[in-house]
Amino acid sequence: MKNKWEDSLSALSVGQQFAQKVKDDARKDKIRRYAPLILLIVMTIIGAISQKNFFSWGNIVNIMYQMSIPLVISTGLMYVLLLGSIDLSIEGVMGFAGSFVAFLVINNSNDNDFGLLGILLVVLISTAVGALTGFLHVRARIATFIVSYAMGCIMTGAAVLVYRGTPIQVKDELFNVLSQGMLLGIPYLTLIAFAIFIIGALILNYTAFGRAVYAIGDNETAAASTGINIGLTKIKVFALCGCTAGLAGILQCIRLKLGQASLGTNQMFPVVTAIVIGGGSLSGGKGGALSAFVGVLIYTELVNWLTLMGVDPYVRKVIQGVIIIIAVTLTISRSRKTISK
Amino acid sequence: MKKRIIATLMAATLAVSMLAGCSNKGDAPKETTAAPAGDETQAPDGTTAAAGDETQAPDGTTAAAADNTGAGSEYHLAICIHSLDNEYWAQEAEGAKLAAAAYGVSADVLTCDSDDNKQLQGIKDYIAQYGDKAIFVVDPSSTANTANIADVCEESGNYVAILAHRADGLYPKDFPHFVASLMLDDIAIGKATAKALFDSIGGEGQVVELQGLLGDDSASNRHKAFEEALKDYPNIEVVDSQTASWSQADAMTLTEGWLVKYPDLKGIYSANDTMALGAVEALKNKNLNGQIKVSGCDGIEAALNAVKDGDMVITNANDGYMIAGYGASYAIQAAMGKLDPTALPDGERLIFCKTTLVTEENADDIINKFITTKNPGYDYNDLSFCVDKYQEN
Repeated sequence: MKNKWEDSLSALSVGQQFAQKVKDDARKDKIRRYAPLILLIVMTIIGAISQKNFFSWGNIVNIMYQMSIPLVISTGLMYVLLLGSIDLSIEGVMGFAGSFVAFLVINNSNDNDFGLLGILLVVLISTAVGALTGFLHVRARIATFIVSYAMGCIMTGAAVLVYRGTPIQVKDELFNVLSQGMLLGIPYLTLIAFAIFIIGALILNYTAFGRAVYAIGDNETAAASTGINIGLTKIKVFALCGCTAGLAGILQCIRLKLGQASLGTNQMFPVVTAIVIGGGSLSGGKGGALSAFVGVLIYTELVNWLTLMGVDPYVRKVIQGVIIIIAVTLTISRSRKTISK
Repeated sequence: MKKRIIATLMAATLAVSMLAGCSNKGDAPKETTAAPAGDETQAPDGTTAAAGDETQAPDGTTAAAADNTGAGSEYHLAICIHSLDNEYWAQEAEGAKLAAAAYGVSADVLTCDSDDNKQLQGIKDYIAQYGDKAIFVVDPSSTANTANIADVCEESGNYVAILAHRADGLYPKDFPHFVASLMLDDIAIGKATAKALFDSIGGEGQVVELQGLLGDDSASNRHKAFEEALKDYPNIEVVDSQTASWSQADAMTLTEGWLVKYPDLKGIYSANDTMALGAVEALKNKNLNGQIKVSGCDGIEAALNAVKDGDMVITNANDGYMIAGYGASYAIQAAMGKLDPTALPDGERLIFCKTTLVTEENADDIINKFITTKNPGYDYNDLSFCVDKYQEN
């Protein structure tokens, strides 16, 4: 027996079917675009109802503070994901940046006192490492998955070499000020992280470079035919990602005051997940600054909420996983291979 | 073009590793890593060379200790640990080297990066190289691997002491060459730190617990210890217990949440120092350090400093110098014929090692012994010194 839907389809011409499909896709796309925002609002409401402290100023500052580092990581990572690539070196670069910056500023193990200059040097090295990852990917044609993993290993090794087993404690007053100082009740660290993210978002949305990233992620061949320098753009993206990973490592070190390779451990995948929850796609071309921001906020709220709820640690991991799957199911795009593309 | 880049990179790596190698202290025995294949060793500083070449190469830093006394110089001690990028394991390596030097035995560090096969292969390679002159002190890659290690050493007739872990049903008495099992009494240590924490807040009030990685031996033992200690303190209320998976960042995030939810929080029990330091950083941001008490465990340098500064009430120095140094001593004495393991009562080959609780009073002393001088001055000839008590059979 034919159902109603098939009846109506067969009554249409091919052209009408096509138009219908495009319309449907557009409608679904619209819903999907707002799904992460709706999810965020729902999460927030559930949080506020179930925990009276959720909306206290102290907790709001906590959430902003806790999303700082993921936000900085996401700044570079969203470009990489837009390309349809991945950067697995982020954790290694973070570990190295945190360890090396601890080595360069006032600390308990040597007489260095490079202060801001040290921070700048570490950012430059991280950027160069990212650029090298991009260069190897573009020139040696190694998949980003592999080349970035290898670079991550190298940087983790370099991080351990910096402190040779005993993590370096930071004693620099600058670091104390940055982690404990506040402006209008908001920690400096958070303000810095938001500033970095906003700069990244502006570059993505308002420069030719940003548009080129979208174009390459959407269709590399088409982008090349419009005269975009694919190789150079990719190298720039990885350099940017290295830069933000380095900054994230430095901020993590400011937060923890201890320079060690494990600063970066388990920092990357939550952010990848967050970006996907926010509407980004692992195959590229989809997402952007807003979706990265919303995703990171959803993820941070989730973790914060689970802490406030105080659920059993074993159950907690399960709940976290289940919520992530639900979130991604609600927000992920499934229409990539349809005729409207 | 591509080849030239690779060549340049390799040259750079070599140059860096040589520099790193030079910065080693002169008296430190060289460190090699056993690769699974056995044909390549990687020193922690990045040098790569064929196993045979490296160990036979005239190396200024090799076996400097062996020159002190002639007695044991024909013997070679392999110090098998996970890696050198962890303070405790590095301390174990230092301790075993000190012991080796005390007996005039040359020492090599074999790291395995927690890989069972790599560790076994490293041991087999070492035996292939030095035959019955090879001695082992092993911090096993996993509890399960201890049985394999005992088997391999028994088969070839090499003496071995195994640290920190022992598989169920594996006893030195069944292996003439498995000299001794030296472990830490996690339960007793955890209880002691928990009690010190509870006493520091007057035995009452709200406390939270930071657990280690779920499913990990030490994590579950220290959690059990915490719960046992609680039985003696009815007025302590545990308001939450979460895992931070040994991570400083996770511990800091959890603590930030707790500070919002539990304004009356009095104490934080942490299963290790790294997590305790994360809690301390969260407290510092709220100017609560020293007011809310924190306990840790392990005795890493940063935590010893935190205890000294009053940011932590207590930690336990697990003392790698003790466990690995005396572990090495047991194996070396057996190899040199000074000790007959089979003549020892079975129970005395199952040892819980001494450790030191660190509070504000003795923090300076411990920092001086373990960190500054890197030599606590133990007499490695006196084997009984390390024994806290014996493990139950």
